[in-house]
Amino acid sequence: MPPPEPRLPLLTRALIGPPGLLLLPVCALTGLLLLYGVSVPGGYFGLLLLGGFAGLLLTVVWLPRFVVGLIREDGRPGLRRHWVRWAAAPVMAAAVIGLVAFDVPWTVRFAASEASLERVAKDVSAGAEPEGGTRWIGLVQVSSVTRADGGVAFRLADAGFLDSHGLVWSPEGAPQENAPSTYEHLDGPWYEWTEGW
Amino acid sequence: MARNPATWVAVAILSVLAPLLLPSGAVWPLALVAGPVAMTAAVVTAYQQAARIRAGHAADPRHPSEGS
Repeated sequence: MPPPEPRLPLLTRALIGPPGLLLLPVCALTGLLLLYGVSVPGGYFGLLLLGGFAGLLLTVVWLPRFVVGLIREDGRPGLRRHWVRWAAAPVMAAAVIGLVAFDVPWTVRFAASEASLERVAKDVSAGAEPEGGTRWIGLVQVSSVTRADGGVAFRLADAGFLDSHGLVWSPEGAPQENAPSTYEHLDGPWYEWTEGW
Repeated sequence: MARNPATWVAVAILSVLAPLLLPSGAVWPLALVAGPVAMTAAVVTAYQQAARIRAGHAADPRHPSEGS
């Protein structure tokens, strides 16, 4: 019978062991933070900065452990034994990159909010006075709602860094481009609106 | 000290945090290289330390599996 494994110092165990109870939840949280950060046009700058830094830290922690474990003969059995835990972080990273590349977070958020936004847009367009202040409409947080050229403009709260971002409901076609505002068709009567700094 | 993984982990943490503490833009590329290198050194020294402890454990005549 082989002798039992000696008790290794905590840090040594953490460095040569598979990703565990700390790294994997932090990975998942970072992924969620990044997905939320890109879930509006222009993104949430502060969240993206924080998420990017956390992603960098996680890469610096995960990658050397994996590469050294792969190279060393005494590291490979651990990699094989705990392959699910080793694979979890890169799988999460790939999922986040894929979702961001295809703009899924914003597409989903807009789709879930479209009916609520359209209801407000139609009310305001029909003459109702828009409510002031920052508030949630569906799943998007807007800082102002205003009438604009036969449509209604929603300014998104905290979106973008120096530029402002929003949505325009314009059933009569694309809004008139007037610098520094630009518009990009989104879906049906909806246009993404960017107001340059 | 260089054989202690904790030393290298400390160097890695300082390297990654350096761009936040020092305003110079030149610190970023340095930190991006120094952080992973120090972390790699930490992992290598951890494997070496584990191997030393295992070897010492196997050679210990008072090992519980052999009776003490």
